[in-house]
Amino acid sequence: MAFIHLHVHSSFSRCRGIGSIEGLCRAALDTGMNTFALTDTNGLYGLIFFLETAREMNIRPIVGSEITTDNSRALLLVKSREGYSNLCRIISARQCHKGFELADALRENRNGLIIFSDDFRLLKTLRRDSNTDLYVEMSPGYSMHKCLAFAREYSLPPIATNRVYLINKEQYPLHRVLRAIALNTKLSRLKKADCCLEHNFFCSAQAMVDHFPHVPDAIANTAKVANECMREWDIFSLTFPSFENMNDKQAFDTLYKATIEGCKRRYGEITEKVRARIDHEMRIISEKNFSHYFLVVADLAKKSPRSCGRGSAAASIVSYALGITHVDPIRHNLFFERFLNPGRVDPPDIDIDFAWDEREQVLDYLFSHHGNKKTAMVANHNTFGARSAIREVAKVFGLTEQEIGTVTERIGFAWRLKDVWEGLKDHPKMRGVEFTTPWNQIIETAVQLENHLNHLSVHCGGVVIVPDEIRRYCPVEISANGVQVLQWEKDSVEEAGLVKIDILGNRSLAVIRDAIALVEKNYGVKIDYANWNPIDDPETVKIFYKGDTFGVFYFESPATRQVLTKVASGIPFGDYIKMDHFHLNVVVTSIIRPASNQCIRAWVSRLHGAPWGHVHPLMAPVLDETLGIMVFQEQLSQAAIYMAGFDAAEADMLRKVVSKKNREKKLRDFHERFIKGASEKGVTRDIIDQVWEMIMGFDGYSFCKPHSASYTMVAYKSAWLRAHYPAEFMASVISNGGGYYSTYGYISEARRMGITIQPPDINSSEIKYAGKDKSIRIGFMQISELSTDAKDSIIHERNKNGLFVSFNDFLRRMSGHIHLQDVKILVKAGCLDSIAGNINRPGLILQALEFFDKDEGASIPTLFDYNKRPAPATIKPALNQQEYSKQVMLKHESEALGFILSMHPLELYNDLLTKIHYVQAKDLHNCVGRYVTMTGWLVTGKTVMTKEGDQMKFVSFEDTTGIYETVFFPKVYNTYCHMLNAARPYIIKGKVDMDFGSINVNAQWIGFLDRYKR
Amino acid sequence: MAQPKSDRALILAASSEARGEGIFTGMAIGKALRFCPELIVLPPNPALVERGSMLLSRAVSEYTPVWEPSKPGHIFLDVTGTRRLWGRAKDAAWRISRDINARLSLSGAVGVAGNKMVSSIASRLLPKGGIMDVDQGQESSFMAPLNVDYLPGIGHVKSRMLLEELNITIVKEIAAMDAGNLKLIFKNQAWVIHQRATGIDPTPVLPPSAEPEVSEDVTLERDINDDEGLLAELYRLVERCAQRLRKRGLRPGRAGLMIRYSDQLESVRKATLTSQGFWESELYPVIEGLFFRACDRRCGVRFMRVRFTDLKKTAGQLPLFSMPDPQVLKKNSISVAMDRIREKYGEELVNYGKTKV
Repeated sequence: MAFIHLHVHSSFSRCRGIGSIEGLCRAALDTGMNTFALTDTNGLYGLIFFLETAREMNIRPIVGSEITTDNSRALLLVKSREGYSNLCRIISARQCHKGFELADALRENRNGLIIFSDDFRLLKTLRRDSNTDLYVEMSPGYSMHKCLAFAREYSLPPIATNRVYLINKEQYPLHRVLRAIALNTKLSRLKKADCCLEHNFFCSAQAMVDHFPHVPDAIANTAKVANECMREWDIFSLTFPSFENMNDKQAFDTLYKATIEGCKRRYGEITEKVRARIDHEMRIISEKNFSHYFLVVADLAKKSPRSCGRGSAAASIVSYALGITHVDPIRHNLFFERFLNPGRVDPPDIDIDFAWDEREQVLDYLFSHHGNKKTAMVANHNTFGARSAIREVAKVFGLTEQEIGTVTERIGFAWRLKDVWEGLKDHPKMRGVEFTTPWNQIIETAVQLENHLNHLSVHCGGVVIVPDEIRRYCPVEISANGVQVLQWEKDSVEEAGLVKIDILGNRSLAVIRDAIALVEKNYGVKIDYANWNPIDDPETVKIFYKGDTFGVFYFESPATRQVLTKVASGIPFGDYIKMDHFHLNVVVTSIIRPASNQCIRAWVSRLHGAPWGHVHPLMAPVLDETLGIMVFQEQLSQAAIYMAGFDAAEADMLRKVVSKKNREKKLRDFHERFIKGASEKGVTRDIIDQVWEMIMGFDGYSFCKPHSASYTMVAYKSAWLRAHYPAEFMASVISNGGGYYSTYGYISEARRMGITIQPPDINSSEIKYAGKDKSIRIGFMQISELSTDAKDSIIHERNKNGLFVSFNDFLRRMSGHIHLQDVKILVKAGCLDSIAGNINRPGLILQALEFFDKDEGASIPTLFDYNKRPAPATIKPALNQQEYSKQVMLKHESEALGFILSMHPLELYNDLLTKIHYVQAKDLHNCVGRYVTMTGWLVTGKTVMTKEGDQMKFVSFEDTTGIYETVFFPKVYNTYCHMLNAARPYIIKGKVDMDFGSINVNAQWIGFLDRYKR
Repeated sequence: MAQPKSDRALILAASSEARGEGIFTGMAIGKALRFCPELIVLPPNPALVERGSMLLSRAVSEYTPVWEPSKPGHIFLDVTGTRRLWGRAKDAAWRISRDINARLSLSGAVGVAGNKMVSSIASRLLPKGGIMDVDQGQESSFMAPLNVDYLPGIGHVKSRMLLEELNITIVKEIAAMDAGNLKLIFKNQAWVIHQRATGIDPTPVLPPSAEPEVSEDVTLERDINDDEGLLAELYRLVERCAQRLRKRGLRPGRAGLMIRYSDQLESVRKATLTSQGFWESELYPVIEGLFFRACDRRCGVRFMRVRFTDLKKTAGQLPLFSMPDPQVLKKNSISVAMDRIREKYGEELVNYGKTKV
C-alpha cells in the first residue's frame, strides 16, 4: 500500500524544522517516494527553492502549509491555481491580522484547497459547509484513537501523516536546541508540547503502514490526496506593475511620447542616431511588454529631481529621456542589450537611488499611490551565520556572554563553520581560547544550524507592484516597522517572475542637494541638476587628476584615491584632460571592486604603455576598452558570446551562476558548452582554458558598465561642487554623515583645503553645517547631547524674534523650551561665548543654575498669564570662579562636539614630539625607499583578506601636515591588530614605498605616542 | 575588574598599570578598551571578597567590640577606651595593621581621626599603605586643601559639576560658600555637605547586627544550567539545613535562596514559610518554588545558598481535628533514620536517588 508524506516541514519552518529542502528530497528518493508535500508552518518561504530542487531531482512537488494559531491548526494542500491564491491569502491573513480566525479564513477561501486537521472544533465548523476535501489528520503519538473515533462519528475520511520535522531520528537533539533558541529557554525547561516527537522524521512508507493496521483508509487516502493535488507548477510568469490602469497599447504610446519629449529636452534635437536608438529600444520594450514598468519608475523618479538610476538601466536612452538616469548612453557607448534583450528570460529590474532622507517619502508615495493591495517589499531571509549559530547554541548550553564572546569575536564575517569547524580549536585566531566542555557539543550543533532560516527582514529597497492583488502571488507579512513584506527574498521573487524596483538611499545625492541649496542661498546661483554637465569642466577634472576626492561620491576611499594617483602619474594635466577621463574613471569605479581589484596594477601599467595583447583575437571586441582586462560584469557574458557562441540569455545566465555560492554543479554544463562552442570557432584548448579561468576568476562583486557610468556621473557632480564651492560642499558632506571618514576626518580635510572651521555659535549656527566662501560654521547637529527640541526651538526663536543679545536675553526667551542640561552643553561647546559679555563659562553655568532654580520654584501660571513674559532672571555676583583651564576647555570641546576643534590632537603632545625624530606627512615623498618614523592620528582603516586567507589592513593616518596611507601586511598585522582601533596618537615605523606616484608606508612597527611619556 | 557583560559595564577597580593608561574606576569597558586595547578585564569574585571581609572582621574584632564594616575591605573601629590595652589610637592602628599583614598577608592604609569621615579620607590619601593621624580639632584644616572628589555625598554627578562646570576644585571653596549658593548647588544636602567640608561627621560607629540563621551553600564543580542537576544539589542543601534545624529543634519562619550565575550576577528570592516545620518534605517544595523564580536565565549556575531565618524554638502547632498524613509521617521517620546513619557513618553513606544525577 502506498503512503506519501503529506505533512513535511523543512528548515523554512522557522526554528522548528530541521531538514533542508535538498535533504528532504533526497530522503524521499531514498525511501522510494517520488512525491511529497512541503508544508512549512504559516508560510511558503521555501516554495521557489522546493519547486527548483524538486525539478532537478525528478520529484513531483506538492505544495501546502500548516496554519497554526493559539487555539487552532490545519494543514492545507494546493489543489489548483485558485487554491494557491487562497493559500497565499490565508497565510497573509494569519501573518498580518491580530484577530485571525482560521475557521473564518477557511470558510472564505476554501476553494482549491485540501484540508486536514485534528482540531475537532475546526473540522465540525468546516463540515457544516461541505465534507469535500476535508480529512481528519491521524499521526502516531498525537491522540490517534480520539481522531479515529471522531472521523467515524462524523463520517470524515482519515488521513495518515507523520508530521515530519526531521530527516532522521539523529536530528532530534538539534530540533530541541532550535526550540530552546526560539523560546529563549534552556533544554531542561522545554515542555513536551514545545517540541515534536522523536519519531517525527521522514520514515519509510512501510513504517507508516505498520502504524495503521487498523485504519488502512488513512494510508490509502494519502495517495488519493497526492493525486488530487496540483501537478504542474509552471504558474509563474512575468508580472509587471500596471501604470494608471492603462492597457498595453496605451502604455506603449505614452512611453514613446514621453521618450521623444525627454530626448528633445536632453539633446535639443532628435538626430538620426538618437531616433534609431529610441526605435531600437522601444521595439524591444514593446516585445517584452516593459512599457508599464518604465512609466511606473519614471513616475517615481519625478518625486525627486536628484534621483539616480543605477544598474544596467543606465544603458537605456528611454531611462535617460525619462529622467530615471542621467548618463547619455550614446555619448558613453552603453549597450541597451545589457539591460534588455529579446532572449532574456528573467526580468531585469531598475534600481534607482534617492537622497537618503527622501527614500522613506518615496516608499510612502509608492505604497499610497498603488495601495497595499498591490504593493509589498521584498524580504531578506536571514540565516544563522557562523557567529550567530555559535552564540545562540552556546546560550542554550548556559555559557556567559563573555565566554561566548571570546570565541565569536575571533570568527571572521565570511567564515563558514562547515569549512572550519574541525580545525577551529587549532586555528591561529583561537590562540589562548580554552575549548572546555561543552564547547565540543556547541560547535557540533552550531555546524548543523548554519544556514537555517533565523528570521525575516526587509530588503533594503526592493519593492514589487502587481497589477491586481499581491496576496495572490505570494504570502505577505508585516515587518516590525509596519511595512508589508513578501515571504520571499530577491532570488525567489525574480524566479517567480515578479518584477521589482529597487529604491535605495544615497547620501551623496543629499550632499549634492544640500550643497546646491547652499550655493543658491549664498550667491543666488541656480544649478539645473537634470541638465548639468560637469564632465568638460577643467577644475572638476583636476579633482580626479590629483586624487583630491575626499567627500566625492564613490571616489573618496584611500584605495580609490591611490588608483586615481596611479592613473594620472606621469601624465601632464593638459594631456589628461584631452583623454577620455570619464571613461577612465568609469573603469576605476569598477576595477576597484573585489572581482577585478587584483588586476589594478596590470591595468595601470598597460595604461602607461606596458605591452599587452588579447588572449585571442575573438576577445578583442570584448576587452579592448579595458586593455584586455575583465572589469565590467557584462564582459563576462560577452566573452561567452564572442568566444563560444552563447546566445544573450545563456551568457547572462552564466554571468549569474559564476557569482553564486554553490555553482560547481550548474557550471559543469556551461563549461562543456563553452569548450564545445569555442572549439567550433577554432580556438585551441589552452586558450579556451585561459579564458574560462578568466571568467571563473571574475566571481566577486563587480559593476556593469552602465552602473559605473551612472555613479561616475554623480561623482563628477560631487567633484564639480568640491572644485567650485568647497565650503558649501564639505559642509554638506559632513551634515549628511555616513561617508568613508569620520566627521573629524572631513574637518581635517576641509582645513587642508584652506577652509576655516568656525565653532558653533548661538547666533550664527544652523542645525546643519553651513559653508560660505572659505569658511564652515559647525551646526547644532554636532552637539549630540543637545536635545532635538532645544535645537529646533533656538532656530525658531532666532528666526522669529531676532538674534540673542545677551545670556540673560537667551535664558529669558528660551525659558520653557530648553533645559538646564541644554544650556550647560551649549556653554561647554562655546556656543554662548559671543553673548556672554564679561562673564566667563563657569559664571554662565552658575547663572543658569540660578535661573533654572527659580524657574522650577515658579508657581503654575494661571489661565490669563499667557501673555506675560517671565521676569528677567536676577543674577547676583556670586562666586568668583576662574575661567576653565586649557585642559578642561579641550575636554569640554571633545565632550560637546565629539572631537577637539581648537587644535589637532597631536598638538597635545608637542613637548614629546620635540624629542622624537620623525618625518611629517608633507615630506613623505622625499623619503621614498627609506625607513622612517611617523606620528599620526588614525583616520580610517580597512581590513582585507589576502589570497592565502590571511588578514592585512590598510590604515590612513594624519598628522598636522597631511594624511598618509600605511599598509600592515599579514605578519605585522597579526602582531599589532589589537592596537589598530584606538583613539590615541600613534607612532609608526616603516618603509616608504612608491608605486606609479602613489606613496604608502609599509608599516613594520607601531606604538602609542603617549606611552613615550613614561 | 568589571562585570564582563557588555561594553557598557563599568570598571569596578583598576590596577596602577591600567590607571597609567588612562583607565579609571567607573569608566565603561568599551571606552576603556578603545583607550587601551591590551586591557585585561577580570570579572569580580564576590566569594573571595566575602571571605576576605569575614577574615578581616574577625581580625579587627579582637581589638574593639565597636567596629563597623563599610564596604568590602573597609572597616571603621571605635577605639575609645582601649588606650590601656593598645596604647594611643595611632599605636593601636599600627598594631592592627601589622597583625592583619601577618595573618592575611594584606597591607592596608589606616586613617586615625576623631570621626569616621575624616579617618576614611585620611586612609584614602595613602595609596601605598601606612598610617595617617589627623589631630583632634584639625579636621577642618585637613579637609581644606583636598580635592572636592574626596567629600562623601557629593557623588559623581555633583563632583563633575563642581569640578568641571563651576570650576570649584578644592574643599576650602565649598567651606567658604554662603548658604544661598550652597542651597543652589546641593539643594537639601547643602547643610550636610557644608558640615563635611569643615570636617564634621557626627555619625557613630555602629556594630553590625547579626540575625541567627541556618544556611548551606555549594559551589558547583562545573557551571551548569540543567534544572535536574541544580535541583539535586538544592535538595542536598535543604537536607543539610533540615538536619541542622532538627538537631537544634528550630523551626524557620522564612526561607531564602541565592543563586550566583557563571557571569557573577546574583539572584535572590525569599518566602515566608507557612508550615513552620523542619522536615525536608515541608522545606523543599518552598525552596524548589524559589528556585524556579530565581533561576530565570539560561546562563550556567556556579553557586547556590539556601538560608532559613526567623528561627523559633517552639514545638509547633499540631492539627486539632486531623491526624498528619501517614505517608508524610513515614517520610519524616526516614529523615530521622537518615540523620542517625549520617551522624554515625558520614554524610555520603546514604542519599536519595534524586540527588545523584
